Amino acid sequence: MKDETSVLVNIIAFLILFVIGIYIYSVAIDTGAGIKITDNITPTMRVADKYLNKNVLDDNSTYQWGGTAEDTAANIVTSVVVDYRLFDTTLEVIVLFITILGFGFVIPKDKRKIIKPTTILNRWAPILMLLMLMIGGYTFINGHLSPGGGFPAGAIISTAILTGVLTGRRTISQKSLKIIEAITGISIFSIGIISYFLTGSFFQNFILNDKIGDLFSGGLIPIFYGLIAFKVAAELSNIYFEFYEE
Amino acid sequence: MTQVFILSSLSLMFIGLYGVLTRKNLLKIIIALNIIETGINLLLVSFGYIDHGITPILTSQESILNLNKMVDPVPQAIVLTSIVIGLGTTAFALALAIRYKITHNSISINASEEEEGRGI
Repeated sequence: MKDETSVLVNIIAFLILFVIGIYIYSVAIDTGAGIKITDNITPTMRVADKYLNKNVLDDNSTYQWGGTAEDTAANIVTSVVVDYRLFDTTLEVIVLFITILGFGFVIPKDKRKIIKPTTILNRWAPILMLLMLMIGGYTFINGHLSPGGGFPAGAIISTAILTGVLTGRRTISQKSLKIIEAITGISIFSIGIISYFLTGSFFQNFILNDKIGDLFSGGLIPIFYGLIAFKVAAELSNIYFEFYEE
Repeated sequence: MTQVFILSSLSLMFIGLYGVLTRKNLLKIIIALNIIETGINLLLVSFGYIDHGITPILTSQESILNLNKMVDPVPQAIVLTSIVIGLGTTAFALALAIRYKITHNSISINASEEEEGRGI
């Protein structure tokens, strides 16, 4: 075919990559001096030990189920994402925002053909949207107790809006999406500034004395996850609207 | 078991690299880049793997006693970040592909005949 490279080039590329791959694999499983990734390293030998035992601030602190601790989220991945490494997450939200901004500049604004939706999709869309919004809400409210959180919840909520876009219904205008995005983005950082004035460090948790395992626990984690969910949902819905511009 | 993870993630990465090097269709290149990203995410998660580990979620007093059996939560948190960024960059790449299609009237990255004729 004219559009694809010749068979010879394909074979040469395959052979070169095969040799490089075998070389890297043999280095990865090599047995020499030092720590290897194939060694059975438990989290007790890593920084994760502090996060699992929740004793980052005080070395000797312990905690019980139903008691209080320095971070009361039952899901430890969540406590790493939204408490111990919150700077990472907020800067990631900024990176996502800049990507979507660049996307909005780059995508050409022209007329595109829109396929008319079938009757089945048209009838089922409201029911599907309702279910997806419910699951999305559950995911970010329970982000600190069970697997889930703001980013998956945002993706699920934006999928509900995608269903509306596919059926040609304008469920929400692009202007209100931009307003939601701006409000949530500003609130995340203003909570950070509030906690700076209350506790003395940026993004530090100031809701104390809640119990591990409760629905209302984890301090600021559910608030941040709710804000992140709506921000991600607004940004992703923006992509769908841009791709499906009339 | 970690060797299986390393082997599978390395093969995913090199399948993606092969696609990037040999394909000329822009959409295929973007899909290949996504395959590389999946391989890297798998490698990152496998760094936290331990034999017979349990999920790092507290459910009762019993799970607090088993803290040293839990898998490492830090790589999982990092992969969560990288998946979302991957989605944003893929959307950006697709927008660039649409723009390329409009300006060059082709989705293939071959040089057009005019550009070839202009040759140095």
